[in-house]
Amino acid sequence: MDLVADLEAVLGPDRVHHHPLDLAVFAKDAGVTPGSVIAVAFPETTQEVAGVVRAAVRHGVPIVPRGAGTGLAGGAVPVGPGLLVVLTRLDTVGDIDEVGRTVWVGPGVVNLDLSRRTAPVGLHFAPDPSSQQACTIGGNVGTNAGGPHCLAEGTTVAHVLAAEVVTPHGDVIVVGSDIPDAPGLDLRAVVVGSEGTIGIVTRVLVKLTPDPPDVSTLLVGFPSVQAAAVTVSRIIAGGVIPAALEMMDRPMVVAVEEFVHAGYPTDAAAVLLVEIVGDRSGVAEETDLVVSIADDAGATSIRVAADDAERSLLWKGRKSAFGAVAQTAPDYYLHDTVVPRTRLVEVLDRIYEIAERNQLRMLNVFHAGDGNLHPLVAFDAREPGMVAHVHAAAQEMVVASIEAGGSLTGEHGVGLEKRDLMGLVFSEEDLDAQARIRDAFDPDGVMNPAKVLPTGARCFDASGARFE
Amino acid sequence: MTTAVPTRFVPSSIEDVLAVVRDLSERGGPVGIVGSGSEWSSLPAPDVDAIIDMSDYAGIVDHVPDDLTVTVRAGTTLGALDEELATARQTAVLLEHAEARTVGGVVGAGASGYRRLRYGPTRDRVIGIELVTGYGLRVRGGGRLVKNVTGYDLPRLVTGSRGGLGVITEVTLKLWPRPRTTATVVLPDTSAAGVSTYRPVAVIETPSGVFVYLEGSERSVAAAITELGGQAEDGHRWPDPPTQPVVVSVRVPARHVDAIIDVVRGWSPPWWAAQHGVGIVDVGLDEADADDLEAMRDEIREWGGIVVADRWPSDERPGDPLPRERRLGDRFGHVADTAGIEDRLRGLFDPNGILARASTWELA
Repeated sequence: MDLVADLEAVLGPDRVHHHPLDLAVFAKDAGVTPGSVIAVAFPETTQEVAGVVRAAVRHGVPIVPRGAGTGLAGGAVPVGPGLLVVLTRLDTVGDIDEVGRTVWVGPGVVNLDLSRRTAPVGLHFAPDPSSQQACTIGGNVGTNAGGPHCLAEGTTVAHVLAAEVVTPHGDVIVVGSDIPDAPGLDLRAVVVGSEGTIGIVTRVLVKLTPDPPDVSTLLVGFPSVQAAAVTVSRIIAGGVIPAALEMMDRPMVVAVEEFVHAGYPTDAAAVLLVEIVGDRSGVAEETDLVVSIADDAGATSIRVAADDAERSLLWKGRKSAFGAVAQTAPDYYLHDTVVPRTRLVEVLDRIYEIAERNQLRMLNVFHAGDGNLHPLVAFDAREPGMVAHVHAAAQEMVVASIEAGGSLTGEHGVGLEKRDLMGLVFSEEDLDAQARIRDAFDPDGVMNPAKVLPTGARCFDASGARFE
Repeated sequence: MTTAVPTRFVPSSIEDVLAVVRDLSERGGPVGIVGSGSEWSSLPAPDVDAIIDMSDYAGIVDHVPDDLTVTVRAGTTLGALDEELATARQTAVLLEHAEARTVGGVVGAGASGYRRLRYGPTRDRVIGIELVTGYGLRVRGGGRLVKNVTGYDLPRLVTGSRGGLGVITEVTLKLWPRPRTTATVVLPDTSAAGVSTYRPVAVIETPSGVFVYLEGSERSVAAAITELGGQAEDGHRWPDPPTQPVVVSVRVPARHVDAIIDVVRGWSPPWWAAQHGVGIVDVGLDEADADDLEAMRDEIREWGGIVVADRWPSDERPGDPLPRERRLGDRFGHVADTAGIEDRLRGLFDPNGILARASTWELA
């Protein structure tokens, strides 16, 4: 039997797609690079996932798990022909444990839907990527996703207590635990952020965060990007860790304002979106502190959201940024580097210089509080040579970030896009250790091969000597 | 069983650590790794041929206050770290009452303090790690960045690995500003604490009552005290550490803490402290209670939990040997089923198996 027949024996013909049109649609994520798909499977239970994995392994076909496909790094794009396992139908939400603040959910549950489900009991799932209306918990786990509110709360790994995983051998295991400090190695931490390279997550025990009793959201305009960056440093140095601390430069503010009309100040060189949460008196005190720091740094406008409606509008501006760019250019390319917060101004200066020298239209929207940059280059891929030109400039920006002590990705993942840049951050010894971690889970390399680690990453033997 | 006193190595440079591990890797183990030795001194001596004592490899490598990061060598004590961080009014939120313990030891043990209800466990603040692996190579993971998902999460994997993957040589921690105001409110029971306070630092119940730990701005702490009622005092008054010869840590899903307090009371312990919202109840017991460890484990298993021995009498006391049935056989009483993945991972990081025994505390 061929692979499709074997998969149909597990799932039935309706849930195995192999029409050329389906294969083309599923060959890409939200990034720019397409892959090659043999078939798309839609399992609905853990046992079906295990059956699908065993079938693919029997046929020697690589397996690539996928959620909503909102990833930007090519993590869910098969390199060489592969089987795509779409997990969106594993979308149950279990009983909420209000005392322990946890709930078991399927990987197919949409991020924002989860927080809507838990809202009646005053809890939410803290990671909030810009794609949260579409992206799934499984994808969040795969990429160790972040979002604006990860400044205070951390990325997805801090919000996943345990996960049920189908191993590349078709076994079902649970990594992590609902008890604190369970003995043994923290395999959970490896599963989160592993980008589908070591197994398929079929259930997730997530930690829920209490909704704050009070929220204050400020939009502050600045005469320069530098003044905004200085304000970021001073807020942190002042002992305040806001729930979110986002920056947008003027090109991005203009694009967003034309798109959603949120009342962003288009005359400012940069704006900060600051959110402070907590109890009423603490929020008032910290809001005052932020306002006075911004004033001292020469803020040209300070707007404090008066109610939830205005707060939503201000956030709509931030969360629509990528959509706004899509309105003004046929294509965009987005990076996700991180730099130490103290090096923000210097790295931003270099990134602007790179864009200008390469005559590229660049817009910036990023998580300034934790130094997570998203320089976004808008372009038209139909122009001859343009894609290569954009990639070359983007790589210069990555190098500028790494030279300042930064890293490749803060929340999007390595995937395919940054795989070959891993050597800029890690030594051969470091990459070999990471390859060992992967080998422990997937010794035969069937799960999402050719992602995260460059080819030949495993290069030292058992005695620590380099392979000849 | 080894009868000879284990050889002790006290490296003071990364080159020393590499040389010692490479040498031991060829000669074979088992090898134990210690920081201040505080965990080992509380438990029967594990059966090792050699000990790598990291207490001499100490010092602050880099503290960047505005980045809220600090990088230290493994042997740096929590006291020395705190002294450095105090200069910038910052904290790494590690353990309370543990100035002598080392950062490498705390991270290797995966130990967290009482403030984890608010700040999460220690592993969520370990953002970078340097390790000399069992196969004798120096390896780094993570970085000096508060947000970073580049590659597999070696820092968290190593946290709590108990020396099973290699020797931790350097750690980068994410920091928090020190709170401007701290206070402790004492209540007769948990009913008020659970409902009216937004994210307290800790809620700890002991035989003397329920202690709610607050911190933040002056106004917010004052407002929380008013809402809670009860008796308030400035600062954080953490429970006094237990003095009993046997201390166990009961770990259960957080929702069961109230029920477990009832179970633990049935053991009539001289000391206990329960962390609400976390799922840990530490219990201090008399030596004779050590006989009942397996019975306690059976009781706690009913609630989906485990009982870990944190302090136990030594087997070899001069003139007063511990009765055989009272000896600690299995410190954790729990092994996760990971379909061989954990064993393969240990094997890949420690191909000659020199570290595995001490790390799992398999005692003869």
